[in-house]
Amino acid sequence: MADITDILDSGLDEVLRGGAAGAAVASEPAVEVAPLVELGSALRGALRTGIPAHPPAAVRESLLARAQAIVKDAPARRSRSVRRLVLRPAALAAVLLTASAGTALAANAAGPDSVLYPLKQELENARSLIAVQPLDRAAVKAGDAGKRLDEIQAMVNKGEPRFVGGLLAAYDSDMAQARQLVSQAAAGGANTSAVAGMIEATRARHDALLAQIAGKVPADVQSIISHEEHQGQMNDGSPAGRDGQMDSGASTGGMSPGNSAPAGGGVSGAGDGGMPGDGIGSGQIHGGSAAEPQEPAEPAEGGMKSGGQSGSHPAAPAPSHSGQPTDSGDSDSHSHHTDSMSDQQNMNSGGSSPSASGMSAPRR
Amino acid sequence: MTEKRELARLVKQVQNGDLEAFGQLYDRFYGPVFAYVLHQVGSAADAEDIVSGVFLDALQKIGGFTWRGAGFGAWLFSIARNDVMDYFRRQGRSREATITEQHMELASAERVDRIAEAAWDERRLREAVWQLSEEQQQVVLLKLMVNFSNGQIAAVLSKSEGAVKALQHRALENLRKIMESGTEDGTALIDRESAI
Repeated sequence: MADITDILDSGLDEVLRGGAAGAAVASEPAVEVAPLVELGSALRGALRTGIPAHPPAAVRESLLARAQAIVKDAPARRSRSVRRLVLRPAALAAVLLTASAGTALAANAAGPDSVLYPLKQELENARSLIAVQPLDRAAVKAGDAGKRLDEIQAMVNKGEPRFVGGLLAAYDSDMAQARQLVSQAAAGGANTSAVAGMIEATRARHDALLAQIAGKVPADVQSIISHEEHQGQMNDGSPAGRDGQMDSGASTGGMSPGNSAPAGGGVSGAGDGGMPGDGIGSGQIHGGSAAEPQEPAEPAEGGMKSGGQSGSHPAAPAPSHSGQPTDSGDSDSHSHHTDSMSDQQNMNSGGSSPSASGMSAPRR
Repeated sequence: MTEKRELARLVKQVQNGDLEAFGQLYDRFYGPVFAYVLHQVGSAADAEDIVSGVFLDALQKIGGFTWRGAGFGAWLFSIARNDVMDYFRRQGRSREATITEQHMELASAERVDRIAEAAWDERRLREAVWQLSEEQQQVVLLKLMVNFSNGQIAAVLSKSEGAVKALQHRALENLRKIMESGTEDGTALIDRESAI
């Protein structure tokens, strides 16, 4: 048998949905609840009398001016990670929503001749965006450069050398960004030796790969390779490496097996096995999505607007001497709260206090 | 776009620093928040100040808001509840004292200016709510005025839904007693220690 508090609650819900107070509890054995439901119905009418539809214009203007000051001040206090995430929410959301786990896995292994390759690029961009520290981002970029080398190898092996030129350009871009980020991190006092070593190892692998595929590619690509080799020799002659700031003392000992594979070793699973960049990236994709507000777990807000802003009030009524607005029009008698199950399940699963479910009363 | 998705979109935009979206949220929630605060503090001017503070607090804290839990409305009203509590603390007097003063003033005014019996009953009902415990008032206001679900009320009060239902029952029982035994001056004995 239902508890009397449940019967009363059902009766009130029926009233809030627009049902008659008497009908709400007519079928219940606990007839003593009926007067309480009727009281609740009358009280609802009394409490909802005169809820203003709009804020007074002057109050609104003043509030927004103060809000402007808060927002203006906020970026300086907001952490860079949050700023980066909120600046690119659309890109992140698109990638994370588009890529199911299976699709993302398939995309990670996709080559430039695959329809999934654009998704792979977006996933890489997302990982790079989510990596917060310059050194982390440098590792991601170096990892991406390593993947371009894997793809070059794979395309040549498949007899698809037409992709090599574009992949080399992408490799150059990733490596340039990685170097720049390492320089940035070094300027900030970070220990860059591991990532610098990773970049150096990737460059060495690049040189070896170019030597290996020379003669296996079309003439136009061959000219690019020749140019690349020339650039490499020039840089090799520089004690400080390409960017002049690379830690020349860094060893390649920190290099992951995937990257240190000999150039002739074929495609190494798109370079995902143990790449530091991948580890950072994939881990932070989840962290990034958690930082974004979650899709509403059916928040029962729908009734709020319709109930709170009765359309028959053209302006906020002048409060009476009681402090209550005097407008007696309550045009929203049919509105009711949307007390969805999912909402309640979220709030009280396992009978725990709602504060344990992520909702805590913010205090000053 | 559904109401919920529209609300989620607005919240995200505000989190990104969009003031226009903040204005829309303000417009959307101003009415119920104002009515909720006004009922408790009794002064329209004070209520206006508190409500502005609620929304500015919300703006400052919205970066930490996530959709886990009972939703934005419950989150906003939990701020409003705390701000009302702070108001009474700053006033240096208890909620009960304030309410009694309001009640006596209104009852007196009502005796000389009673126009319609229905309006009098509505006023008596509203006044009766003031005599409930703070938590019982919250349940009544959030459920019957703001249209909150039990889950949302539970979130605002940091209680279980079962406790909310029990508070609701006790509140209505007390209100019935007040309305049945209420005299011309509106005084009545009620159970103030019934909060769960």
